[in-house]
Amino acid sequence: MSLSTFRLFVPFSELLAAIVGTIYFYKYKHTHLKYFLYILWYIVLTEFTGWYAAEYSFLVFFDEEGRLYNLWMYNLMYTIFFPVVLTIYLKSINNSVYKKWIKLFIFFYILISILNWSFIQSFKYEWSELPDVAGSLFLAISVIFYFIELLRSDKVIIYHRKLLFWISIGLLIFHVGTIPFNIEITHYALQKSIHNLFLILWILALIMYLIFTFGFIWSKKED
Amino acid sequence: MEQSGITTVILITTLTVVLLIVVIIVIFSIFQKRKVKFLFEQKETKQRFEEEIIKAQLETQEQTFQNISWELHDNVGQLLSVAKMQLNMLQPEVPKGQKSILDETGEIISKSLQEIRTLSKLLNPETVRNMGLEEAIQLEIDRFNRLNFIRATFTIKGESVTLNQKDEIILFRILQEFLSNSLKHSKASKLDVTLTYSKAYLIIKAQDFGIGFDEKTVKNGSGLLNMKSRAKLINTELKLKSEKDKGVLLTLTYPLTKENE
Repeated sequence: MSLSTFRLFVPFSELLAAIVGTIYFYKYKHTHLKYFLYILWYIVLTEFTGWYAAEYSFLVFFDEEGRLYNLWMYNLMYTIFFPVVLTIYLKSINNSVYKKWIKLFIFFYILISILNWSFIQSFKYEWSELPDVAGSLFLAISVIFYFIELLRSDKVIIYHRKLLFWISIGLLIFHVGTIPFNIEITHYALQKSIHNLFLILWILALIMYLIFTFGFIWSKKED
Repeated sequence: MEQSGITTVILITTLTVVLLIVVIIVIFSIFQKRKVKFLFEQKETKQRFEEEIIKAQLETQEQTFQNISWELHDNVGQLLSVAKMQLNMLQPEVPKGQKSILDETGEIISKSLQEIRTLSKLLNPETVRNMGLEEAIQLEIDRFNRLNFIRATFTIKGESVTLNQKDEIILFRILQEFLSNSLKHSKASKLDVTLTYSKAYLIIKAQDFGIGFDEKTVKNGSGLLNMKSRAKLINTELKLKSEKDKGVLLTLTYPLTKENE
């Protein structure tokens, strides 16, 4: 199987997760988790528009050497993705100290994004590794907060039937797993051979979306 | 650094990170499982403790009933017997005109004596145990019928089974409480008690046809809670249904096939 074929699995796993999430929407539509479904559909939209844009040179940018860039769509997606997901954790956690920290994370993520795109990186031509690394770390810590709160709760919580638990696992695996990738890509993004590395990214993404899909099916209706 | 070298480094770091996450999730699951187990144990201990309290309460109650029963039998009963004997001694000396009054008084004393003896029997756990549930209920129903303002019936359906004596007492006390409440509050003129033995259950139904109560307003009186907790002690399901002006129906479902003796 060639790399480019494998690449196709990712958008379709996203689509699968979004569709399954919509089917089981009744389980969590009354909670803040509904925003997760919205963001999932937004990811699908970005992915397919990005693909279409690259194919038909639609809404894309070219550099001096004539190379095509649709990165701004993905950069925009991540800039929206992290604050929304962090907000879901903010709303799902009760501990006031953790809440304060997550609020700080959201603030700093937005600050880092603004500084990055204004002074350091180009929104059109570069992969958003710096905000991504920051966002992933913030997300990982928020997930840990959520886990700690689950552990500390004196209620009997069937955690493996909770949707946010599976979402957390998926997010942890992909976003923390790709931190090394994101750090390295800064220097080698444009070198052809580095493309093999995208395979790691795609495998982790595939795992994440399959975990989301499983979570939507397996989870019980939220109270 | 060479390209392939970088690729390997990134690959290894990514794998390490993913492995770390998996370890975190596994540890989380283990801790969570332990916590749940601990919580269940805690709940069980609490439940056992509450059961012990109810048992102790029941024992005290039975002890009190027994004391009252003895007191009624030995003290009040004796006094009434003496009174009757003295009346009998008075008999020849009373003028003819007042003889009927004397006879009536003697009869009233005899009736009182009988009532007190029945009451004493029904209060005494020993005698209830010896009589068995059915006879005790029959005695209680007869006592009601003697009061002359309520018509009570008692029916047994199915083949009788001998029950555990301790459970019998608890069932009887619940029923007794219900009946005496009916007598006091329901203004009913009719009262039916039915025992139905099936293969797996003994179903006791007691229905009065009195004023009833509104289920919404009288939800959890202490009497009802008390009855419920006692029923729970012997794995019995207790249902109390009532509608205004239609009477009250008590249903006790006692499992006959039990593992805990």
